[in-house]
Amino acid sequence: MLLEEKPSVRSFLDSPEEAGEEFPDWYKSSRSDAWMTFQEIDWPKRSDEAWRFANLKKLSHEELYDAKEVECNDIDRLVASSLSLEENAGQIFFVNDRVVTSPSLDEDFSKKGIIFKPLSQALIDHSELVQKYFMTQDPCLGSAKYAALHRARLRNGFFFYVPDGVSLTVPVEVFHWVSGNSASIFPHSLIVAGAGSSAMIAEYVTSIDDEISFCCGVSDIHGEENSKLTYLRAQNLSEKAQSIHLLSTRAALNSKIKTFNLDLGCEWVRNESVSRLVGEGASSETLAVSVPEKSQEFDMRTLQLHEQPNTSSNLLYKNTLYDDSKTTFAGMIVVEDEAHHTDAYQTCRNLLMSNTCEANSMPGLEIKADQVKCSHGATSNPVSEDELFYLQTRGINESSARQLLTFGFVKEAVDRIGNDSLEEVVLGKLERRFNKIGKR
Amino acid sequence: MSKLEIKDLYASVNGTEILNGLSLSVPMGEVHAIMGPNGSGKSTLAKVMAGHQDYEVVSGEVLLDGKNLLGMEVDERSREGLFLAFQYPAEIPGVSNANFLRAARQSRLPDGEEIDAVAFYQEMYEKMAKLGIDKKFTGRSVNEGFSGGEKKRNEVLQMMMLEPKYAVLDETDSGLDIDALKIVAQGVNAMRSEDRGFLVITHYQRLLEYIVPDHVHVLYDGRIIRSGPKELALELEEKGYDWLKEGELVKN
Repeated sequence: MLLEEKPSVRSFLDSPEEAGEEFPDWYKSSRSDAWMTFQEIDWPKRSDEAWRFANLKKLSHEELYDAKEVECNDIDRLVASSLSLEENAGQIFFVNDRVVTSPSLDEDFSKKGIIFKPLSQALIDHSELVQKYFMTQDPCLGSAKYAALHRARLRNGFFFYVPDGVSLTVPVEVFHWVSGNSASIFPHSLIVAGAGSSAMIAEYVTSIDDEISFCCGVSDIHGEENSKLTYLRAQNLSEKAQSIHLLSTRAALNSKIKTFNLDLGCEWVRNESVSRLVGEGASSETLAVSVPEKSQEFDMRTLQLHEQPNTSSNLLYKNTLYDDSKTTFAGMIVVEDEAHHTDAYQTCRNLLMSNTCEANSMPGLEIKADQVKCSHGATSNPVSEDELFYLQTRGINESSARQLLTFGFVKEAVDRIGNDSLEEVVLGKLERRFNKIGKR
Repeated sequence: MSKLEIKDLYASVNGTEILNGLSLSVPMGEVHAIMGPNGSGKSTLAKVMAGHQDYEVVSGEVLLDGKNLLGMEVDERSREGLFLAFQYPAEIPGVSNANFLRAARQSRLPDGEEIDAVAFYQEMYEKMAKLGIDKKFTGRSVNEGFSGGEKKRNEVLQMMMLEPKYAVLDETDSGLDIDALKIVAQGVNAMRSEDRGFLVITHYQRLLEYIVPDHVHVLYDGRIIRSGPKELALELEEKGYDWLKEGELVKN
């Protein structure tokens, strides 16, 4: 049954949940407005261009509810079970969108004015600053209804603000865990790098159990002039989970924003990524790796939007598909009238590990300016027989050889993160994943 | 006696017969060269021995110290002691040379046993130094962006690390300038021992000036039509292959 045919009698879809009294008025009205917007917008249909190839049958909100507060008295064990950074500048832990242990931030950094705290707290402590950046980027890739749902129902998330000229050389980390059957979370990530600042951040979204869950997250990243930001997000929810993640980046004059998205878990994933280059000389690098198996479906839509001259963007998505899994990649580069001397690249590569997996790629370009260098490309291939043979002639058995080659395939994207400790975390997660698949 | 023995081998690719009753024996401790014109079956022989799936063995045997290799998987043949140095080594993006060699060494250990990483790296660096390979190559993807000479040196490095009983070098001299050729030959010569046999496949006599063989075989139309001492290579260089081909015709 298609989604739009269902009446919207779903627990968390039934009625709005108003913001608490402690929150600023602008936020309260934003929340109630969002609920109205959510109700006005139609559910996505497969006939919508933005949802072409999407299997909406898998996206069911039946019997989903806001995740309940759960007891968590063993945060150390949870952290230990997740691969994370050896060294961090600060950490925030959420279970079911509730902060479960006191957030930390290195004292040296907090003295420099860095803000790294749960969004619920930041809304009260830094209302004006949050308001300036909160949900300012229009979702334009098909999920406006989910963006409204997120805004109407979000419970928490984090605000990370790096003041002008401050450099954070060690990444901060945010952990989200989901627990309980049919639990839904709406994590919000708001990241702002002030002029001339630099920072790195890693965010992990993970299930504690094997239950059905739903994650509807938004990550908004703002790089002010001459700033430099690297954002890593690793999703490893349960095999029964569904996830919608809306990522947007806004890069101002000469700023650099790099994002890396790793998707391993979930039955169904929809990722939308919008990179806006709003200042001259701005650049963005949008990287993603996914390793779907069984009947997992990952749907990725991207936009690189060049609004100013001398901007550059580079997108690389690498998917390794096993079994009956399916990926859809629809990428668009738009170069606006003014954006002369743009460099824009978009590549999606799929490695097909079975005869029954399916990789759909729809790369696109729309160029309105002159003197522009743009390229886009998509490939889908099985493991190279020549490479496999070569490894085997050195004594490596077929299964290990395939594992080495798949690892090598995704490593190209990981290497581009450009930070050893972040790369190590991602490679560790991938290694676990490939080992698990290799041992089936 | 220990030897690598090819017995009356017939093999085809895409239905075309390439090897027609090839027989050859390389005793351990010796270096044998196979020379032959283009299309005689040199590279096919190398691929068949290693077990490439595109080549179909119609009949015959390849015995490594008496064990039939043809019934084994590609990787088993390697672990049994056969090494093939490729004419055109594959490039493997994203897999570092060090990880690759480590996996190859690991494959030789029993389940549950891990290689000693410190000793492994030390050995690898020593062997790289002998071949004039820069340390930074350990972190680079296997053969990716390597020059022809670097690729061939990398083949020899793998051979040094895997210490095979028998090594088949397929046109190792192709694409090498004289300096690279010397380094590669030095590496091979350093590996020559009583406990190892070599089958050097080459189109030109040049390589055999640096890797001096004990015996030379001439491959033509999928079988050995002449075997002789190392001087046979010089004779081939001087006269070409035609005089042998004519002899072959007369014999037929």
